[in-house]
Amino acid sequence: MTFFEVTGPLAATRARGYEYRQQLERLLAAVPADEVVVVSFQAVKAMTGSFTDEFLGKLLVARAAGLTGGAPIIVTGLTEETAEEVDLCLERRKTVVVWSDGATIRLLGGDEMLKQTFTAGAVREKFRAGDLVADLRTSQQNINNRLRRLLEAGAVLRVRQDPEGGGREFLYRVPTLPTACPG
Amino acid sequence: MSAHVRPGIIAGVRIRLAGSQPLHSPALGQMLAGHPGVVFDAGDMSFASPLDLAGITAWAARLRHEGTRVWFVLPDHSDVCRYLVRMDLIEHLDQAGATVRGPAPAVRRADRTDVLLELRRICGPADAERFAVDVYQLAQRHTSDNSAAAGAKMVGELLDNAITHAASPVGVYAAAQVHQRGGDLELAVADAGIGIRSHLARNPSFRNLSAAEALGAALRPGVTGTSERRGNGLPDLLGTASGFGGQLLLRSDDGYAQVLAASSDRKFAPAGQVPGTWAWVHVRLPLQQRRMVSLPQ
Repeated sequence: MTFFEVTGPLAATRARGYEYRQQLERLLAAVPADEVVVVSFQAVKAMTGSFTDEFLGKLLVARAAGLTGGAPIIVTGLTEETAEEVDLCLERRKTVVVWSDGATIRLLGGDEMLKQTFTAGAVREKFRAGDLVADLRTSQQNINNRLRRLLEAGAVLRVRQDPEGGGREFLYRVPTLPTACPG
Repeated sequence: MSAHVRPGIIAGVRIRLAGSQPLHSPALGQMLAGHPGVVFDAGDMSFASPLDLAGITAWAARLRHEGTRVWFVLPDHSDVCRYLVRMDLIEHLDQAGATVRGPAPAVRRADRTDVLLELRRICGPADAERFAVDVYQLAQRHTSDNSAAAGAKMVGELLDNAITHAASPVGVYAAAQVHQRGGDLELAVADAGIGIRSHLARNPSFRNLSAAEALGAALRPGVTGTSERRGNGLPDLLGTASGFGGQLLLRSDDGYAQVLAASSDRKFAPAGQVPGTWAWVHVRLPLQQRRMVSLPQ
């Protein structure tokens, strides 16, 4: 796990968001793709939409486009208010991030379908696409599309695990906070 | 104080800052470029708000930057005069190169960090972040952490807009205060830059707007003069303010907007010309404990 902290109590300007984005992009480029990067907002009481967009919005769009390292990102230490700010920003940017604090894990950003898919996956911890087809009573194609978006954003991870009878299949899981995470 | 003697002032255009909160009035404003001298006459000012402080200073600083000589005549009303001194208006006008006329009263500088954030010049992101933190700490004395954070978020958006888009040659001026019975938070941010109309005109979709139309556009989500997908700062500010019975007043160029955040009550009008963009926000923060405070004004 790699830890990245946003200092508080306020995060107001695009300039500061840009600085943080540069730092985090450098960090993402340096860590292995399977190592969770935890971004802590523990010290932050409020952040503006401008800061949030310049930092997380642009970073996660770039990540989904494959322009940064592939390590999964988990945000932590958000309040309900700062989580709402992140959710709104990422919804506008059509991207997502995993918010985890202890026992709770939620998807911020994206639409309702994506949130439902993520939640269904988080409940199962490890799952195949077919599991969610049954859970959410929707088509395989819908689930594949949503999992692709979650995968691009680092909100789910997958490993190839082909069935014995042949074919190609992936086992998915939701990234989780390591135990004793400082966030 | 000699009420009507204005010694040492060379003839110039006179801007009369009379009555209560003069810069809140759309009638006040004038194109002043090219005049050799301008007199801001606050002799008859009866009440000043943070917007008056920030607006007057931004305006005077811009004029000085353009080579215009500027005088500021202190109010005859001693309480108002003391307030202007206490809020550091005189000091900032002096630093901007304006000449202040009238006997400034000696003001005992008591610690008023519980209600006042004196006028401050914001020259970049670090200053903006610091001011937002100070607003947070000011509001925190009267309300919950969450409400204080909302106040700081609003001033943060205004300051970020100003330092990111305004290209003000003289910086940005900001002031804040909590009102006499506590809970009423006023924030003002004034720059002397290009104005919202000129900023939006960089985007071909928003050319040919009047200043008042540009203010209306800037309050809609996703409207920006940049080539990026953004333009949510002011709409988000309104969203935050609506939870606190907030009002927003915006002046930019010769446009004027007055908005009640929680309703569709929005007034856009042509107004007297001012440099740059000025914003004033008033919100009623839910008090944790009601505290009676008194201000010099």
